[in-house]
Amino acid sequence: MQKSVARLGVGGPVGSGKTALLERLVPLLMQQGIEVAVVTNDLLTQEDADRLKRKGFLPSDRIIGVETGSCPHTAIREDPTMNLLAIRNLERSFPELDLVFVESGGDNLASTFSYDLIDAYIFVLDVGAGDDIPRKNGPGFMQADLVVINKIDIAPYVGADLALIQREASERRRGKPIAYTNCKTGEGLDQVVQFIFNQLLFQPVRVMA
Amino acid sequence: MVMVDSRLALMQLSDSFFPSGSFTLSHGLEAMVQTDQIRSAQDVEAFLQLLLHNKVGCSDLIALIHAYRASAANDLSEIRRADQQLYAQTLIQATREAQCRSGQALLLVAQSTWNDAQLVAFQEDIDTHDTPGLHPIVFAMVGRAVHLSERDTSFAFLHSFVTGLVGAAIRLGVLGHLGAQSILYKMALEIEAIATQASALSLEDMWSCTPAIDIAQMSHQRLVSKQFST
Repeated sequence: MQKSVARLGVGGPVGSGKTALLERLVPLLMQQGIEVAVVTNDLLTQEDADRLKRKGFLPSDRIIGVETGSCPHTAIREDPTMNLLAIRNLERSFPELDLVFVESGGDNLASTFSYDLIDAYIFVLDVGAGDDIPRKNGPGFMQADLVVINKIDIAPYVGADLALIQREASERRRGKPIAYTNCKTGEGLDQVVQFIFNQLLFQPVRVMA
Repeated sequence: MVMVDSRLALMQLSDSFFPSGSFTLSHGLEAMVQTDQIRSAQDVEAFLQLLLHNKVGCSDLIALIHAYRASAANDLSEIRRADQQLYAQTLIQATREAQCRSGQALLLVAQSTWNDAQLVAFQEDIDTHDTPGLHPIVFAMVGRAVHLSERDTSFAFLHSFVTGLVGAAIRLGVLGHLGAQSILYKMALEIEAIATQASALSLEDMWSCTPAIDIAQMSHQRLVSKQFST
């Protein structure tokens, strides 16, 4: 059987920190010797793809922006063919790849990925969206292989009760993993990297920076 | 491969639920909406008529029908000839690339859904750059593979094309969901006539003339903000 690269979806609402998470994760993975590429699904611009390219940690030809006809959930679930083709092009151009991220366009709590597109997916939320988010039982939040609750540092400033989020998120997720992160400082990212190594790359993390 | 009623195959292939990435295409409509050349349901209807009569019906569809007949005769070299001829006559680079992407997407899904040796052989031809693999050509082969008639394959292709564009028009805000159904009904009449006309023409008869739409398709890549890839 032909070797195929591991694929990790990154979904979640607009502004929750999907691109910021990738900006942090990609260098951490590269430090571990992991060969990475990214497919972004921007809604109206190439903003996310350009933002990642500007950072310069990945060669720009390892970042592909896919226009989604303003249907971000369609592009990752009902009809992910354009993302699949983008992944195939990356696989052909860079046979050494270990992992491709597929970043969804910002969507709502119901957005989930097709497992014909990815092997696992992360759903990114931020505490600024309110501490009642876990109670809303969004399918993206409930079903994702890993939930990342980002921007934990801003909880006191937006009136969100982080302890309540933690308690209710654990109850609703029924043991499925949740990471609490601050992408500005890097707090909590070690757990996300561990998840990627355990669930997608099937190898131990060597040394965490 | 187990035979199913061809009506069911027709519905599966022409359903907008069928995943071939067509929801990412506007065929120049987005650029025309952004530049105020298209503002109303009437404009959308005129745009569709122009595309159907002056481009899709007189080039893509002729190539599709030729490829269907070659596919039924299991003549891969004639399929490639239709593919290459259509490629040569698709003058807008972005459109050629989109046709290749859509063709690949369709072939990807078709190969995983239906077991057909000709589809596998054609994929190899594309991978070795022997042929571009444009969407109408792949569509013809898939139609043959699922036992649709030539006419039903043409209908499925044109219906999918019109449905995709009407969906794009709704998302671009120049058409409502009721107006969309009204246009689909009107276009059904056009589709019948276009399919009949194209079936009597040969590859050498292919032509197209949609200068305003061509310019819109060319300028699409330069739009500052865009939802669609074409």
